[in-house]
Amino acid sequence: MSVPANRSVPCPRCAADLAGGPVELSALPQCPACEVETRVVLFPAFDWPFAEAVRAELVVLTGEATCFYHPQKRAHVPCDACGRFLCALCDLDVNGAHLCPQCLETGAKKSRLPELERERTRWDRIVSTLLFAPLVLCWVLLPLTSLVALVVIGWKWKAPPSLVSNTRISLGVYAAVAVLQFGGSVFMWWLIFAGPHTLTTTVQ
Amino acid sequence: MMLKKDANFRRLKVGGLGPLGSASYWLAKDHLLVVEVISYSERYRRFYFRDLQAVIVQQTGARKGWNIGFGVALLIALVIALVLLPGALRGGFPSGGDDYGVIGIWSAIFLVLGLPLLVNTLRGPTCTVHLRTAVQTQKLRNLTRWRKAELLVTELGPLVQSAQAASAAASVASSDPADAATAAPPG
Repeated sequence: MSVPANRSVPCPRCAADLAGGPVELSALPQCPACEVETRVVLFPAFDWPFAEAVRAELVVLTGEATCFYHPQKRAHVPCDACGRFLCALCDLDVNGAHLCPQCLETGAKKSRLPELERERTRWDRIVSTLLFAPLVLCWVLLPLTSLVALVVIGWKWKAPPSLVSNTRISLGVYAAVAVLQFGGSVFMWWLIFAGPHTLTTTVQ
Repeated sequence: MMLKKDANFRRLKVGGLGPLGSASYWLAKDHLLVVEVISYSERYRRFYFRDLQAVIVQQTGARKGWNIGFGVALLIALVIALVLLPGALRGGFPSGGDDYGVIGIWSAIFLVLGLPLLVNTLRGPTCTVHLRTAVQTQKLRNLTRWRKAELLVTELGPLVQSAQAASAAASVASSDPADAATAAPPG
């Protein structure tokens, strides 16, 4: 048994039901409530009923294979990653693969399942801020921030890179900039506090 | 591996830079991947073709608002130029290096105000785009022009239709013939 499809489409602007009017949704010229020009493109899944809830079957016969996590439930399929028997409730479908909850969690944590990866840190952007923000905000910190940038580059060189920009090239360029910046800023500090003028003073 | 070097992904010519970051849209075999770069993180959202129920595109007044803003600024600059320029130029007509400098500055001001007005007008009406699945309605970031939304619908439509047809066919094949008429896809 399945639950009928939810045929209401709330207007993203005013939350009025776009499907509530007499006009077909696909031919709707505007929202009937807020009168904003709206185009709704429907796909077949809009009319599909909700899938039936999965229920794990209880063990009927002694000696039947049971779920690793629920010993009283009948085994439905083995986990594709660890091979443990799973009941219908524990069988998690990830793009056609059958995984147990533990393998799914481990895979998500260790970024082994790209389908589950939701976020990556852009270390190249952090490094660029460390390198260029002090030039505008507080240039006296340059020796420190360029050193920190070099440490971050070394530490995160093998971190998962960006999917849309070449992080390794950026980090390589920033490493060169950080070395130059560190050298230049240390030289500048030396010029200010222990440069040739202090030597001249000492000689006099 | 970068997406542009991955043969399984094709970049859609929609999205781009926005006030809070950038967004790019990638078509894979069975899903739409939205990559959002916001400050120091990169976020991924996947919309599987079999789950998409609708695309809702709604016009907004952002283009009109920006055009009014730039238009008013341009008008004010024009009035100021008409008042000041004849006095600034010797003899009311450009005749030397300084005069050309004054004209250059005013041209730059008109360019800074007029170019965004022109680009904003040419890019067409603004809109918001939402993707609806059975469990959520998600707004797509940095997809704010009606023309780009149409492009997304054109690219996405056939893929979603064929994925859902295949899904429904598989469901019909595996279900009881009596239920074939009302068959829903698995999951």
